Amino acid sequence: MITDARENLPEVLEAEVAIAGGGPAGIVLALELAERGRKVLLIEGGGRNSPEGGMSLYQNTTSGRSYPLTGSRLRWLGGTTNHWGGWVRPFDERDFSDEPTGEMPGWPIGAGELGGWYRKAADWCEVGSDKYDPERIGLEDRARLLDLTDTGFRHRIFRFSPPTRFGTRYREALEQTDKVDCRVNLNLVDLEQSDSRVRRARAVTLDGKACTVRADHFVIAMGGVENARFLLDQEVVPGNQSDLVGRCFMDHFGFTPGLMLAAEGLQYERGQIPGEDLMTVMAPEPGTEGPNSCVLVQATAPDDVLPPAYWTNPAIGGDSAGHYSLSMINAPTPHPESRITLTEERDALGMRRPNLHWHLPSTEFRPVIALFERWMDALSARNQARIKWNRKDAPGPDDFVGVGYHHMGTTRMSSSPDHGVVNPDGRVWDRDNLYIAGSSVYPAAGFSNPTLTIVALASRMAEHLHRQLEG
Amino acid sequence: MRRRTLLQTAGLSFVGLQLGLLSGCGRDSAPELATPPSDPGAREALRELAGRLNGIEFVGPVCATEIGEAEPLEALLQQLRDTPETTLEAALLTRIASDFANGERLDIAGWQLSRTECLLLAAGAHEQGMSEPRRTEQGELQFQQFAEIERWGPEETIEGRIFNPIGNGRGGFWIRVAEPVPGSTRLMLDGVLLATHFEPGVVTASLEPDYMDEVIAKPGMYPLLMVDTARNIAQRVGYLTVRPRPPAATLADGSQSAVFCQVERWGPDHANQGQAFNEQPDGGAAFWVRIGCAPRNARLRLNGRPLPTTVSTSLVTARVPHYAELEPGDYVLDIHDPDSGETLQVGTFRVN
Repeated sequence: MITDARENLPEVLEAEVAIAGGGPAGIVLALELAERGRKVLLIEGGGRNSPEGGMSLYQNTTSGRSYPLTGSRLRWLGGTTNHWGGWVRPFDERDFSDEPTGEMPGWPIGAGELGGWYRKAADWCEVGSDKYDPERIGLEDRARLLDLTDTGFRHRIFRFSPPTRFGTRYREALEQTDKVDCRVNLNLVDLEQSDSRVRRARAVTLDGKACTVRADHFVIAMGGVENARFLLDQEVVPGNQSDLVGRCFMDHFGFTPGLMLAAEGLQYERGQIPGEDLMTVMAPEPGTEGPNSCVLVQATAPDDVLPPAYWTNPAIGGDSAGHYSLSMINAPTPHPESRITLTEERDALGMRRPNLHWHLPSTEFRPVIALFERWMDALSARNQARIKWNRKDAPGPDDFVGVGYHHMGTTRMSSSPDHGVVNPDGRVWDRDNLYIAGSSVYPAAGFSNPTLTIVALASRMAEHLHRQLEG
Repeated sequence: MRRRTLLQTAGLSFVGLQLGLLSGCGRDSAPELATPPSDPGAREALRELAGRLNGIEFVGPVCATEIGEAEPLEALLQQLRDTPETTLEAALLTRIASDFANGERLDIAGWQLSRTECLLLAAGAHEQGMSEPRRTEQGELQFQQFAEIERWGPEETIEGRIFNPIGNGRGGFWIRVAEPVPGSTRLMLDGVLLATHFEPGVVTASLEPDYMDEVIAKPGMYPLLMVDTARNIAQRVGYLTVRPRPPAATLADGSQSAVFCQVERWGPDHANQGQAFNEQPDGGAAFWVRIGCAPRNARLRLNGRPLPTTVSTSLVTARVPHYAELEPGDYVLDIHDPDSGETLQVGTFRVN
């Protein structure tokens, strides 16, 4: 059942699990718990639909490298899936096992921990297949791709969700289940805490109504920025024993190194392979030095210095050719100084507004550029392509860098309270009944888009909470 | 018409390159390259290859300058003879691979070529009498059908209204195609290439917010082309029509609506009890309202009861699931926008 809290709000709302945030994590968690017979309260700060008039509660400031934060957050049912492009892929094994560069540790769980949950996430995200291994689907036999044998690189796959707008797609399910009490236009603002637990919480509407929320477990699933903002705004900040709440903000950043001349008609882009909705990229094999970034290939207009005819020459290409623009999606490094802090300005709910200081130093591009050079030399040596290398230098500190709108890392998961905010179950280290869901728990992020993993982790958390409630 | 002329001109003047260079290019076996490097005929075989190298108008002369060899062919032959390979082709491939592996690259206007490769190109420039680098000439966009378009949209919008909105001020087109189109395909609106995306059976393209604002601010007809940028060919898709915004509607309290335009006509305004009016293919009943503009979340209501409504550019339709239950009498038909809260009276529907 979905209720507009401005129209109907009792003094007390009670559930076994109270979830704040109606994005993909919150919705999946709520519905999976409901399936297991649990009584759930799902609180969404926005309404059922786009507010059309902007989302003043999300106004913020930024410092450090320029970052388009305001436009990348959406505050209504479904959250940022309302402008999601639908790209999905699980993290690679090396994303879980590699230690990120920098001073912070990586994932405390292995890839195998999420295997089954990824399959479930594919269903939630309405992805036609959960197969991401090119060999398993015989991709290199079916598609015209570069030969990467002995190059140290391999083909990887992105698949696509329709994209699922979670607020729209699962609205009927939320309406129909009597296990989920979904309240829209209701904002969680305060946690009343003891040393080890959340006793209760307070939620308010923008028109001044308020209620007390009681639950066995509380889950904060407000988004990669808002999760940290909410925790930081509490009188006692949960999980902040190591001063890491809000720190290590990450996003996948882009780099466009150049152009490629290679065989005509390569099928890397989406929509090129009949019967398969996928996109193919190139990424380093395990053991290849450098970050787990990927190279994307997109056919483009011919270059006037090295025309397609050049590739027809024997001993060079010997084939008809095309030009392709190259871009990279890059694995970010968790820098503690890249962080969400709170300003003194307050929003209409009385909560302090966030400032994002995005720390993406120019040095972070060095391993990316080195990786690209490695890839370029490997392909050129195998006579697979010639590369126009337009950008050999890192962007300056004031240059705009493309981002994925993927807000990650601000309540990182860790194997010890010294290095994170939540434990491997997503529970805040110093609270027995407070959990964080969403990409804010990622300690490392490879080049995969975050949504599939958000959903997989939410499914996994539903099972964990169910078992906790069973005692 | 002014716009149409302008647009066609803009479309045709799109920078196009290299038409025809891709055609008929199969893998070249180059029999002369089977010659062993040590063979007395190797020099002539290499000269023959250099003399017919393609696409070196720029890189050939630049390589000649960069390498600075007076006799590049001789220098190249010597290098190939230093390899253990038994054919010129294998020797060339080995040397090129070795160059890239060892960082022996030359940067020619950004293109990373192997030193050996550049030596060959220098020889080619020499053999072909090229002394000054020359960029490949631009050609004009040619019109040729290359995709089978099944349908596309949207074909029209109203002044000031983002068409097919996808959020953040963006909107765009969709084109359903029977077969995959080349990845180098872009949609072009009024001479401007759009960010184009591919899904199975569908090509979509979006306008940046600034460009969207520019287009919807000016009523007119904007030509939409599908362009294969690799082959510099274009196919006409159709025209996007931006219609002038009709006058605003007057609400019941006499104020002007901020979201609704005037209702032009609507129907049906009466029906017999139990009869499916404006009968639909499935036997159901429906209203239609021809209106200058209406918000996409607007809903038709009959005596306050919301009806399943579809809003398109200038037409609002709604099915009436409960038509068979309507008793004789007059019913108020209005249209309500939940976002602005405005309600516009459409008329009175009578059941006889």
